[in-house]
Amino acid sequence: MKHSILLAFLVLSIFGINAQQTDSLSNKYKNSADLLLSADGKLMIGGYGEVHYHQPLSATNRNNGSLDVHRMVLFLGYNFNSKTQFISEFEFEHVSEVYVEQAFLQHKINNFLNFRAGLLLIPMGIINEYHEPTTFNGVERPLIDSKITPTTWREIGFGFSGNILPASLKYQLYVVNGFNGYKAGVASLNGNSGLRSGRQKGAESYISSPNLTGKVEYYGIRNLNIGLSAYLGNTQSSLYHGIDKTNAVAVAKADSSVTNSSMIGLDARYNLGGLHLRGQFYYTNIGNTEQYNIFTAKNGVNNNLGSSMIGYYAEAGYNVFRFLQNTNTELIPYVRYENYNTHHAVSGGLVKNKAYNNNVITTGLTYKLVKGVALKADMQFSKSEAATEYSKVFSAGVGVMF
Amino acid sequence: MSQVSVDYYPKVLQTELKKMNPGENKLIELSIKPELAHNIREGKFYSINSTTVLSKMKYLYIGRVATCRSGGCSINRTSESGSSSEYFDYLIFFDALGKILQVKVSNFQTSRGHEITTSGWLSQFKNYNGKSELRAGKNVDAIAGATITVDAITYDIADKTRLLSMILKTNRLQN
Repeated sequence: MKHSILLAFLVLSIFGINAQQTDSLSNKYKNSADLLLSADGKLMIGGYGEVHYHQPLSATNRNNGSLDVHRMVLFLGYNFNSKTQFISEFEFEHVSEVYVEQAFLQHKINNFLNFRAGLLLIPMGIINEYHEPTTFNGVERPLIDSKITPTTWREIGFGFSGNILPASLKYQLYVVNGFNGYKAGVASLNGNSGLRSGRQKGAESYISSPNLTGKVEYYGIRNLNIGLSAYLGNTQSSLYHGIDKTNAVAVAKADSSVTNSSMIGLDARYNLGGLHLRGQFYYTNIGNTEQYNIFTAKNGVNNNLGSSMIGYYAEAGYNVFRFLQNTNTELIPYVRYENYNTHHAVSGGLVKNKAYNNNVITTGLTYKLVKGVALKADMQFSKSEAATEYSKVFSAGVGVMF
Repeated sequence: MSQVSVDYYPKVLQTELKKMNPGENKLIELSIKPELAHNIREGKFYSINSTTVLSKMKYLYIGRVATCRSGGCSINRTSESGSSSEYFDYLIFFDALGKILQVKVSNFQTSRGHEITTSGWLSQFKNYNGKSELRAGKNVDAIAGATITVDAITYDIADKTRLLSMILKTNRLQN
């Protein structure tokens, strides 16, 4: 841990000195508004947003629908020079929740190597990085990108990214803060939501053990992009704070409050003319769950975090307007099949909960009015292993990106 | 260090010149009339004088395309890309009639759309002569999540191909 912090400090110091040497700063004092107005193309602004309507359908019961400004995100970036930039995204979720989704500094070391530090997106799968509503089909993101990979997943960290053009490879490698597993007597992880509630999102987060994540993408075959993502590390526990390192009982107690996660993601995207195919596979192994579930028992009932989770989907869509020469709009009917199971495996005496194993079929239309604007409608059929029939939800939504 | 200005003799160009013309190659920058030159912000056209008589490669364009980050563009879109961190540099090889033989990306500094750098994707511009319209999603393959980059290179290739045919026409009239 100490070594990681020291390394981060050294790297930041080196780049800080370098930046001072290469940038000639004006002596003229300017406030933020002055800088915005005189940015001369250095300031970047943009955003995306999505508004959703969901209507559960039932042959026997009446159900109210829900309407929600699910996400409204404002992007602000600043190019200090051609090598150094700051990227940030401010997000309103469900109108009332405010988050910082990204806030990082990027410095180009050379054409193949960039240094990044700050609040970073974890490079896991497709959706966590490509989550703007005009980049995917479906009113909501695929369910495995909520249940297995907790998008939008971001943590504070640092690392390197780059493109190796001759090899058609893009890579990212970061040291990041991990999930909060146990804090102030409260366990964040369980069988129902998996790791999702453990995200710290850079909000007064704490660290007891750094995590490692990376992704490699190969794009050397025309219209095909294949990605391999990985994430490794222990969850964080507040019980480590202030304990005597020689106190074996206290250390053992803290050790029981953490799990270790190893996640891999394999994804592929392929376009051929108007045909769009994509697939995603996630597998997460979670260690030490038996001790964790016992340690985080409530009212004598053990917690139910699974020892492995799995999720995958395959999706096909086709732009039926591809051959209409007098329109630039796109109409994409699509169908997606996905499965996720947060109790793919369990440890100790825990019995698998069949309700955590779900099949979901989503089919609908994406209508791209202009570049950056999508109208969406879909029907989603979902059924858990414990259910006897599929539940049905009609959804419609508007997505924009600018 | 990361280059700030366009490299007009990148390694990929040297390799391609050697591959297509094993003999000696000389690049001579084309003189462009001011009324046409204003269409080029960061780029140059060259004629290729080769000792290999049968070489089809006669003209070359090297230039930079300033793109913008997905979900965030520069407020002042007309500014030079000198301060932009999002751009790519690329080359177009033309034959004697201004028809595209090959497109290569020499430097890619954009956060998305790296798929456009592959020779497979770029091969769809081969034989384009500027007479028809190029439209991403129609006769140019779209790439999910890379709309801005695909649009940018599609527009620039059509623009520079048409510009070369105008330059060649003007030069023919002068001669």
